[in-house]
Amino acid sequence: MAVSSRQKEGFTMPELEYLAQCETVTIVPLHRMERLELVRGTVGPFRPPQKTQVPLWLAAMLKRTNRCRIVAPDWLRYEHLQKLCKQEEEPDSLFTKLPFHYLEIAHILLTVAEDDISESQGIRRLLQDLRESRQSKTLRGIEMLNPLQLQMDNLSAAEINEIRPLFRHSFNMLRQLDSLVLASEKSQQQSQYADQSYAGLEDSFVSSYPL
Amino acid sequence: MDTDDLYSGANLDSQLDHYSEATYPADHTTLHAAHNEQMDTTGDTSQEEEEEDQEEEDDQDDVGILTRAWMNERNAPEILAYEGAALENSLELVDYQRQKMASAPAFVANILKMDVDRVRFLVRSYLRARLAKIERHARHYVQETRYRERMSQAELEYARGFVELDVGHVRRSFLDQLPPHLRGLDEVGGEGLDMVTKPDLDTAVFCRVCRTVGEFHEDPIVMKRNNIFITRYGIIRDLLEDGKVELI
Repeated sequence: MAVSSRQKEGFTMPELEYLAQCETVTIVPLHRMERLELVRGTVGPFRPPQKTQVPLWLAAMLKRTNRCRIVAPDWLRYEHLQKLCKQEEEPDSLFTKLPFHYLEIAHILLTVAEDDISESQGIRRLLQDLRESRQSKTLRGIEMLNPLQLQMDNLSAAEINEIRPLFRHSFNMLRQLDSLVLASEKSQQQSQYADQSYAGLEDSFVSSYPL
Repeated sequence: MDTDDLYSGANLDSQLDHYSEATYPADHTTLHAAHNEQMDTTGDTSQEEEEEDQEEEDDQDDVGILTRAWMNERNAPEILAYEGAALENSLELVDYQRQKMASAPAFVANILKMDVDRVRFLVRSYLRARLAKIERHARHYVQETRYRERMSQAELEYARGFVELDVGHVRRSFLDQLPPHLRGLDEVGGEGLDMVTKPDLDTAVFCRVCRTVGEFHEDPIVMKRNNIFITRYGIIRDLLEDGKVELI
């Protein structure tokens, strides 16, 4: 089997993390190292205390081996998340802007580099709140679902992946119902004409075959 | 299939846990958007254009192209055009990096290996996603010219072999014992029932707009960069082919 059944409905969590690990983060190296030529470009040189940008997978690996400190991205700060939480909870607000892989990145950073993130406990809590209010917002969105399109800007990869089965199924269901309605409207119109044209005939039948 | 010698069976998840990938030239655009957030509610045009240029640059990177192709392939109901060039180039890069690994110090070699493994994972997953689709609607893909053109030589051979096996099996197990007029395998019944299964092109997909399209479709859908929609695949099919939207 080329693809497992779990992979037919969107991505798996590890696959989403794979994609998130391609994003860039800023690190402060703790060891000197020359430039590295990677498949997708050059990183470094690593000169301690100079900040440099590397893909997240490399940052996590360096951090695990104690070779760098990760600089938390701006959106992953306590005050910023607090502000977002407030915005998210306003009635009729849209989804706030966050990186497309914010949940995965936050998860990875909080796992490997918790000591580099100030107020990490508070951040975890805020992320949880944020996620929950966004979740309830998406679920309300299903009421607006129609068989043509629904716009959901700023929804992140993990969130989309989560609602994909439900939304896809509902969407396809609506689509089928829609085509049924169209078909039945058509046949109703036709049968109306038919009724008129047969009306006279019926009369003649009735008169010739009284029952 | 050339996938198999590259990667044996392999549990994707455990592989991923361990490591490895290809560096993304950072989705700067996404991060930017987050930084600029409240400020750019007015939608500064010059800035938007700048971001658009950046997007174009991203497209130059073979592994980046492959990553996008993989995401699209995994979400689209039908098989998409084969990114042969990007795939070949990525594999060449992998070979080149491997040669470098031999002479690098252990720690650097380790990093290079992770990097290379990430690309190998991508290649494998991409080809597997395509194989799964081919197996699902093999006969349809082999019959239609537009799909035949989308497959690589190896994939086409695979699809043909698959159809042959499938038909042969069905014939031998029962079809040959039926009266000749009931032996057809490509009849079309009433109400669009077809013996050759086709992908459902109207299924729902999530897409993100890469380049502003403007008003689109009857009952216009206004598509601006970074908008996210759930919509029918058929509606955005051509836009996907032009690289104006991506599936997520």
